Amino acid sequence: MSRLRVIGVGSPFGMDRIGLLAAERLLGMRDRLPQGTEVCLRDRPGTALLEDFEGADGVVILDAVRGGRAGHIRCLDPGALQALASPASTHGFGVAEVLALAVALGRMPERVRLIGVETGGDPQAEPPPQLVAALVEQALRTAWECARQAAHVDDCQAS
Amino acid sequence: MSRESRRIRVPVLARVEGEGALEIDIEADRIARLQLRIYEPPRLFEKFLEGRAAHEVPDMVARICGICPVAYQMSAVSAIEAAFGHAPSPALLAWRRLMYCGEWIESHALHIHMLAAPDFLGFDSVLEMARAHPEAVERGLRLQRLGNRILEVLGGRSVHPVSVRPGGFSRLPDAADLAELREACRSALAEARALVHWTASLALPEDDQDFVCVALRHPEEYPMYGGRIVSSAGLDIAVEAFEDHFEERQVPHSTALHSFLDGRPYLVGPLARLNLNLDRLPAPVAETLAETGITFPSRNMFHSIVARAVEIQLALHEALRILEALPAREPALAAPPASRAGTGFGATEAPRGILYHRYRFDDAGRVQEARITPPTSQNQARMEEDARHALECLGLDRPDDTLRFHAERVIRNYDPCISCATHFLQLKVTRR
Repeated sequence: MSRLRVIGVGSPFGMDRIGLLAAERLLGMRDRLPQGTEVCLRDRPGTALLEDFEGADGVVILDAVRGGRAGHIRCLDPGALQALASPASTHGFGVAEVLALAVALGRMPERVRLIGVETGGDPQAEPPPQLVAALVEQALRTAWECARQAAHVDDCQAS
Repeated sequence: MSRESRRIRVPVLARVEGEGALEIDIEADRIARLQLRIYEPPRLFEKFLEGRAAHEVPDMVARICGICPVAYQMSAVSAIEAAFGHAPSPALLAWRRLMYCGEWIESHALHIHMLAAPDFLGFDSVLEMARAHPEAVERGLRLQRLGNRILEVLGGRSVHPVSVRPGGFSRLPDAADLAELREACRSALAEARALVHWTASLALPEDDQDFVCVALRHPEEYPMYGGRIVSSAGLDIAVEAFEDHFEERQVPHSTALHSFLDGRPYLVGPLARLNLNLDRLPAPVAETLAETGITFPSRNMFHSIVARAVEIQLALHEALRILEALPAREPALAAPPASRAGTGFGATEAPRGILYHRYRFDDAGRVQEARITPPTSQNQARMEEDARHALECLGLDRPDDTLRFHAERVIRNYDPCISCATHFLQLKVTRR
């Protein structure tokens, strides 16, 4: 069975709430998630996000990303995001920095998927309900994709 | 190197909390100008607080900083209770000290491992350091997590906790959570002791400076909450007299004020606290410090990292002492004190040094005027003085990159929290 975590990251303000809102919806949709999936909400966790990686073989992170086209949902490459890590201050220790630290410490789960929602030029805008719903659907698809990959790996190892 | 004029700029200081810059003008063989430029916008918290009820203040000031919110809450309730003529019970003071221990542990663990240590191990960032010294970074994360857990258990959450109010806590943890904390603190003691030795073993630069240390001094305890303000130059005053001795000045290059004691820069923070309170260390902590072979009081500013580690060990001992005795709950859950018109003063020891609050209330208990002097403001002039001294000692004929790195390292050593410091703006209106 996959040890998968879906983590909504954000803050209670504007578009930055969207990862938390989607994770909150997913908490009530356990029957649509792969068995054993844990759903967590994390308000600006900083390095504490690393704790959610412990014991997980797959992690799906839902978060807002600055810029881009407002409302565009983008599946981000964790490797590319790590390259942007710039731990200049622990106040600004975000998802990119946590991923880079996880790699450095050998604590990166086997599968990490990042689903970002672009804020466009107005990060203070309230997330529209249809966008939250679309993020939830994307999170469900990604969670199942991770679970299938984990099952495939398990099958290969068993044979 | 040529002896012509040079300007060295560090446009964004890395590995400090908040946004600041450093500018150095060198003319021939002297530093003509050195400025720690703090350019974060002012945050105007003192103005936000005007008109607010006393009970709203602790939650509002906690928002000044995500790393040291407890310090803001503690200085606030101390000042509010003083204004309303309320003396906190010993039990309440013990619960507050326990919570403060959590903040010292998480804040110091973060600074030592994430911000300062890379400087002394030859890395640009904690990410590089983590590849070569994963065990050290993991230790930092474990200690930070423990500090945060103490805050979460006492304050409802680890960032911007919500249980601190004038008169007492709005809630206290249950027995199971307290037992978990007790066990966690006990298990971390050996690691904290090892951390003191580890910091003492780092290749810290030689340094010998004459600077004035300022810290609180409590009659019995290592200072966190309460006590008198003392200095290494013989000052010994009540908190109420802070503004009679400490002068704050605005400078054009900073949105944070510079502080002076008798016209001189001074130091607050772990090294100043330790230098002035060695006799208040519990025996096991004093023994660890003695084992390092470093002599305190120290005039080497780079011993600040050792002082932070010592204070982590101290905070763990103190937390465990309080958790083993478990103070009474009822006095710490008392209702807020009745408000009255008056002025209250409060000073506590934030991880970065003395944090001074003054509030004037009307007879309905609403804030009429607030003043908050954070430690980073107080250290600003000292940081500039130290950077100037350190670069001149290093030799101004060194390459720019060498000078830039060393100056940054000197500033980082103070663990400045720029976001905390920038909440003052003197508005000058010119009408034509």
